[in-house]
Amino acid sequence: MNKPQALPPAQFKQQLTEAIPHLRAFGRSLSGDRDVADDLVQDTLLKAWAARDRFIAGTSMRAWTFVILRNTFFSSMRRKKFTANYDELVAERILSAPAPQQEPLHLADLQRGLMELSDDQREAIILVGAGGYSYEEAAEIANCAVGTMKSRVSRARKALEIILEEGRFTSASDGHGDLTTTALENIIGAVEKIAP
Amino acid sequence: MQQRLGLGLKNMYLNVLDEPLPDDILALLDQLDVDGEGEPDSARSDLDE
Repeated sequence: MNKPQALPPAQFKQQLTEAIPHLRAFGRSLSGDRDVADDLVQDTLLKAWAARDRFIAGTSMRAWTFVILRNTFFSSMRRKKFTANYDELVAERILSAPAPQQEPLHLADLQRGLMELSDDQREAIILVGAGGYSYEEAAEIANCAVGTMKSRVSRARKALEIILEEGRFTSASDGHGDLTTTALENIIGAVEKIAP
Repeated sequence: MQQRLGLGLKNMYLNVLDEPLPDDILALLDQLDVDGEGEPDSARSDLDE
């Protein structure tokens, strides 16, 4: 039986570089913050490089580094190095063309909605719903059973749908304030600030 | 709604893929030495958490 082969450093670096855009997308979806995500990516790159002899040639660099990134994020969350938030800079970006008679879906709403989910559910829907991973691949990254991953994705979809339809966000996602408010109340509050 | 949600999630992810890499990440990549200095640290446990 052949021993698994590590990649030569140059090839490892090439594959690592190719994974970076996906690491940034995963990290930003997970944390809700551009700067936090890029800090996470840098931590991940350094850890991956230090552990490069453990990467097996022919396996998925993206999945391997996703494991490092999510472990870094969740352990840092426990130590409060990173906190999940949402990026206000992209508050007005429209994510999808509206269907007839429908309001467009805004990135800020989606990111805030994601922050309302549990960490497990958020990770699940990002991997499967956004990243396009199969349930099997996502379960491997999140270190859980495939059935658990399916359940998390299903619950996350339902919860996110309700949050976005009702426009209800709590202080868990807005980073300030302590009251549960509706989108309409937010708008009224903003108008009152401009024209009291 | 589910369709919009699915599309929104994919677009959120894809938007980031299209962004150029920030300078600090590019600088970090430059520091990764492929010529052998800085041996890998097999004791790191971030894959085992």
